[in-house]
Amino acid sequence: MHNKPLHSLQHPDHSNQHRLFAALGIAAAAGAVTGALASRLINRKPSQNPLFAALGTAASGSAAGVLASRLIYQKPKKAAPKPIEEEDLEKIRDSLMRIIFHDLRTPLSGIMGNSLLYLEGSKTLDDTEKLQLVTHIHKDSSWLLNIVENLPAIARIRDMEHGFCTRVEIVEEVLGETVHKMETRHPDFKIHVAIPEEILLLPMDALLIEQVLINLLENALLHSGGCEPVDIIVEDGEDFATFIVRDYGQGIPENMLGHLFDSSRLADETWDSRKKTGIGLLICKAVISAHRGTITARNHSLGAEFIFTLPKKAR
Amino acid sequence: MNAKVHILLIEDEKSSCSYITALLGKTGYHITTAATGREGLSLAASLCPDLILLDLMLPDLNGLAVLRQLRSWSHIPVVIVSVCDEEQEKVEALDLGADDYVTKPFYPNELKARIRTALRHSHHHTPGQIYEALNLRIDLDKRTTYLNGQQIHLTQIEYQLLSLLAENAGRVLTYNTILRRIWGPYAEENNQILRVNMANIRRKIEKNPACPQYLFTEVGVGYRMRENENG
Repeated sequence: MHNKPLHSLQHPDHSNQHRLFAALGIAAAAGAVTGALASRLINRKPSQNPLFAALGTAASGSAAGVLASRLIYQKPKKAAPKPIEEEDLEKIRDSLMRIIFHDLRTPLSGIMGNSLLYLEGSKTLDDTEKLQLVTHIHKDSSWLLNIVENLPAIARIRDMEHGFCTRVEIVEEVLGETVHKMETRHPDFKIHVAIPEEILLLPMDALLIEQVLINLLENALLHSGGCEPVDIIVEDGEDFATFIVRDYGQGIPENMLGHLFDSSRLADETWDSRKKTGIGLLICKAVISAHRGTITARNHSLGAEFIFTLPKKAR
Repeated sequence: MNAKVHILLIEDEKSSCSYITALLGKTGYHITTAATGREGLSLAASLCPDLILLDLMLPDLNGLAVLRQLRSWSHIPVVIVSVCDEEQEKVEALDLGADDYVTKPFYPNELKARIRTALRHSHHHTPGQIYEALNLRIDLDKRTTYLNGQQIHLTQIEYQLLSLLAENAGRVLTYNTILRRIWGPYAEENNQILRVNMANIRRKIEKNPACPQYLFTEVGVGYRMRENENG
């Protein structure tokens, strides 16, 4: 049974501590079963680590996710310019887990709330109000789907570190499928793609790179209002190929530019727009790092652009 | 001929059942549901439906086991409906004889298109001798291909690939299926040669190979050609 990733992740039978932390993060997000599961986990591994015990308490609290991430992760190191090492990937992955399961609650509570309102008010609500509730439910479930689709990526990143999953892919096939998916989801969203004339082959995990592109495109759609088409430009180079996702929107506020790919910002409650921009970019960073590439963001005169590179030779 | 097309839905999740039943009922199909693999197999034998929608996560049998048993005696088209988005599972189901695959959650039109295509390819009916979609026209008798009215030149392998996909327009063909059909039973497992050929065809018929209108890639699974508008 490999149905429902949530369940398998929730399974308390994880051996190493990192995964235990992750499971706790999930327990916190799961709400109803939080207390029980967390205490079961803690009984199983009596507090070898004060941090761990503290986390147990946090998990039963309400702001568990946020609190937990503060407790575990101390001050972030400055992002190194070279590709990150495995230890950092592990860290990123663990904080991703926590953030994701914390963030699942927001759209989920929207769906529950709005559907309950509908059910309870089925006789008193007028058609417009009903339509509005269902529209909210639909929007929240799309959002939820976006988050959930990032989950398999985390497992695949782990495999990548062990050298699995990279195959030589034809870049246009990966782009073609990505664009097709985006256009199915957002029929009015226009994407321009420019690739080199020659067939470009790159070693990669295609599904992970698709997820990176989807996250960047969803981001572009959100921040450019979807009025102007978004460009994807691929350039071939000697050792690396470069991918640019360029939008023509409002650009990225200067104060955010330096922290977009920094997982520590998620513990910062003043990061107000984090609601919908949180995990996507962190997944991008983790995926590209696992491929030994780099990812950066910058503004151009008419909007924002994200640039990532992928090495042309496999490790 | 006003008998409704009969679809057997093998699915244990109630909410999925009610959604699919409502969606397809509105489209004019007659639906029977089975909540377990065994019930599904026995209904498939007794009702002889026109098509089966099969979930892979069933309480008693694994959906792939249901498919394997079904395929031992029946050619009823099967469309898999599953929450799993892993390419290996898709490939396994397709190579076991499933006609197509839809991942949950899906858009209503996606499911309807897959069903339509699977039904069209089932009725022992010979594929239309002309493939036509947008600006592309392939005459499968005369073995000629036209784009915007201009004949285009394909190598022998390229034409074989394109015509195989055109005959199966709308449905996904796995790398294995294509390799076996074009290069024979002893074809190499390596699909690189297939993919490079596909890239060359794309350069001849697609305006932008990275935004194809005719030849869609399902990365890790295979290829799907745009539905034939001529049939």
